[in-house]
Amino acid sequence: MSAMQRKKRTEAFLLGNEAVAEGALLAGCTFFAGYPITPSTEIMEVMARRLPHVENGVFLQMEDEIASAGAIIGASLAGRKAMTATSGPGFSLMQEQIGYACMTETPLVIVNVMRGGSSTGLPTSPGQGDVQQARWGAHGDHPIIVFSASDVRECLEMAITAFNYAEKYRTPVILLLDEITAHTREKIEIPRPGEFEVLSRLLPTMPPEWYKPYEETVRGVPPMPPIGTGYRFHVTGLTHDPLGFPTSRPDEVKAVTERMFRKIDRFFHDIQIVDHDLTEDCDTLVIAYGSVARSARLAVRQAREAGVKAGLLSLKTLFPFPRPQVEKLLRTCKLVLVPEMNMGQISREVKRVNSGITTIRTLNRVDGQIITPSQILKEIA
Amino acid sequence: MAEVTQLIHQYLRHNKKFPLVFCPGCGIGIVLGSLVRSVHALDIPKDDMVVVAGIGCSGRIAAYVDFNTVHATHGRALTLATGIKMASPHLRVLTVMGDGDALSIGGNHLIHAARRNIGVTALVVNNFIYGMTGGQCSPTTPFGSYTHTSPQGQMEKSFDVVEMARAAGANGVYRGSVFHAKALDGLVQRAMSRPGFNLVEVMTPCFTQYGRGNRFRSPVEMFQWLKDTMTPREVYEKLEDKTGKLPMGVFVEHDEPGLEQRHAAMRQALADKGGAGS
Amino acid sequence: MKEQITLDRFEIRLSGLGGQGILTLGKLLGHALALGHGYQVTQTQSYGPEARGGASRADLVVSSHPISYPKTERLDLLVALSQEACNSYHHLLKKSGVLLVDTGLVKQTPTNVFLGLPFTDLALTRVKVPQAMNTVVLGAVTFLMPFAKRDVMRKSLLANLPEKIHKANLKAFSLGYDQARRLLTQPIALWTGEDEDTAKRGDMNLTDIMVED
Ligand SMILES: Cc1ncc(C[n+]2csc(CCOP(=O)(O)OP(=O)(O)O)c2C)c(N)n1
Ligand code: SF4
Ligand SMILES: [Mg+2]
Repeated sequence: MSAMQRKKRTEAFLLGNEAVAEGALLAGCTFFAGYPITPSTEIMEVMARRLPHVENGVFLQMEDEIASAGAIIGASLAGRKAMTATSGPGFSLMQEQIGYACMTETPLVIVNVMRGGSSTGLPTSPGQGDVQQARWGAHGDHPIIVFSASDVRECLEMAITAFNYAEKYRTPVILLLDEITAHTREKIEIPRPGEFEVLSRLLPTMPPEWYKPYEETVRGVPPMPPIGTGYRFHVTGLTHDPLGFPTSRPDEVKAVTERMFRKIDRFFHDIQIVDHDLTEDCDTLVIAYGSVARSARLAVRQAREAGVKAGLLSLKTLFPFPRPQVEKLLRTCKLVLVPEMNMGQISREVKRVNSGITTIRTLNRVDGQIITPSQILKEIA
Repeated sequence: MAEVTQLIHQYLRHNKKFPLVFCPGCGIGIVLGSLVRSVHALDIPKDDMVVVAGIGCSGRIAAYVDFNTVHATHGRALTLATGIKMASPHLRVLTVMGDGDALSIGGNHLIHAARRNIGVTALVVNNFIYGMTGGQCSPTTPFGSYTHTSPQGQMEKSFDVVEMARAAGANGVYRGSVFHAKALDGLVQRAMSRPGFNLVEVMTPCFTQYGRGNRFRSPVEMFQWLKDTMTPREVYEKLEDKTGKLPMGVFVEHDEPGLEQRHAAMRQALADKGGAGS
Repeated sequence: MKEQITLDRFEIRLSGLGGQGILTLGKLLGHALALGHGYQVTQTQSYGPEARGGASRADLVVSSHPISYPKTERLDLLVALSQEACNSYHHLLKKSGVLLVDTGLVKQTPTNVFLGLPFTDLALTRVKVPQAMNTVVLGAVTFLMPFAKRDVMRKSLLANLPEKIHKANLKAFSLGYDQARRLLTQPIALWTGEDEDTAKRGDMNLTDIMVED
């Protein structure tokens, strides 16, 4: 669709999950493969209904999550913007494939709607226990981008952003939701094409003989042609040289590994997305993400009414961890609270950045229930 | 000879660091040759050819051939191949998987690829063993055979790949051997030129990891074994005593459209009804 | 014609048994208030095993301002279509909150301050479509909520239902609305009265509230 096309902006009353699917379609996703799992299934169901009506749209229900991840990797190699959606158990199964996508620098979007507990856990309750798994679930050193969303509008926006960043940086992007965000219905305006940015991977401009699929470039992100367009090259999960062939030569191994990290690290400022709410003058800070950020927003307002100079930093980018933004606020606040529906996974990152600057308090809830505004208020006021 | 040289020049990668990783006497090179000859015979443009390989000795074929090549994760070649074929149905997608890769870790994907009838050709390179990891038993290791993980002889039964693919609904099922290279070429070409999911089981010797531990004295003896054992299906069926024989040839041929064709038809039907489709 | 009323935070819980159409009702009501009336709305609901068969629940928060916390905390309106739902959620009502029950199904209310109509019975005997019970409720609720507009609700209802059941549902909707107007007082006075202030909200033990989720 071109930006020129004037489509009427529509309002819709959508679930977070449905908004993710809408966002994906707006971002140009034409390929979805998945395996049903609560509480993510609505994403899959919307894609099943919608994709057949999209030009060349493909929807597949695969035999498991490993296959789902495999299918979208294949589709992405063939030039598609591809996505899957799952929840904890399925996310665990996908990890080897996610590592493969990191190693082969294949753009993907993987949505994980977090449920409560480990293992089968609490399928219909919220949790935020997969945060560190999203960062480190695949084995071996690898860079990855992890986003979160706290309300229905953000679900749509972050789905678009996830695709944009996957394409821009040739990397899998994980979008973490929790059951509450996924299953809350709200009114949103569906933006018109052309009202938001849509990015696509760079295609090679050189002739095929000169193309090196894993070459060092200024941005560290080599161009990527779809399979079957004349650029025949080798894709492998083995550590490879700039041509894509397996290598164990230390200089080549070092070069490719470091470039993979550098391509994300160098554009750190671009990747970290946070929301500031009343932080300009705050001395008491709440750092939250996902549905907890919504509770925190209310709690911070209530604390202000009670005379506490409270503020909220809500994180949309979880990894690479938005260190500079956090660090700046740690220096000016006397108390920082990190409420999470886990035993302390982002607070771990905050503490690492803190290293003694100020007091960090955690609020952890793992009974499958949302952290309420009053719980947060009690800690800060 | 000139013909062979020409094929090598045309289809093997010049910029790949040779030599091959395969052991002397390994049959996988013949599978590679058969693949190249088949693509040549079918006149498939190299740009249209996609080889998706699993992990194992057989999976290393992908790096050498000058097609679009993807070396996937262990057992998952068919999942990537499914994505590629559905995304770009005009491409000719072929997977190369070892017996462990296709039937053990990837067994679930294999039966579902067959059931789905995705338009992919699957070569299952059956050497009775986990070659790459150094000789552990696989789901096709014959009962009683010795491997590093069956030191007292394999106590589990082995899969019959052909019967499994048939039961799972594959459009085409074939079996050949690297000793019968010409016949193998024919089977691979046949499998590659038909719609839907077509599987070719290729029997091949691994002297290094299987033969040595199971009373074969050389790779040659293993080829001899293939020569004695593999029997054209038509002949095999008429045999009174089938012991020690394994049929090869064409086992299943249906003409159902591949999944990607069904999707295309569905989209066309939607478009005709006025939806976006196409 | 009702005025567009500014709402700070109006919380509704629709509760009862699986199969009563509560989730649909929640979605419909939310859709109408959000898109038809132009309010901010968050709608959540019970999921999983409890959403099949057993208890069923849909929650809405309605406001003129952006809603931070999406779940309900203290209810302004509790619709209880089963005895169990009434027992479980009654304590979540604000002091000024309104309890609306199906008088055929809820035989014993924990308070004498409540409103009631025999919704199930009305759907069965007057609409002759038992499945339209939730639409009868929608009609009654539309009358009761001072900020809900009848025509807007009706439009949303039609927009969200397949055409072949429009007639029955329109009938059910009007029946609910008219019955409420005839038999119930519009509790507008209750709702515009002094609200419990937000600070108090902070003192409550919310863990208790959430356990039924
Ligand atoms: C998930 C995973 N498990 C285990 C391995 C180790 N591994 C590599 S190849 C292989 C078996 C290969 O056997 P087969 O598929 O028969 O191929 P062959 O080497 O015999 O051709 C195994 C187990 C791996 N790479 N990935
Ligand atoms: S180990 Fe066996 S299968 Fe692998 S290369 Fe050597 S002979 Fe071939
Ligand atoms: Mg093997």
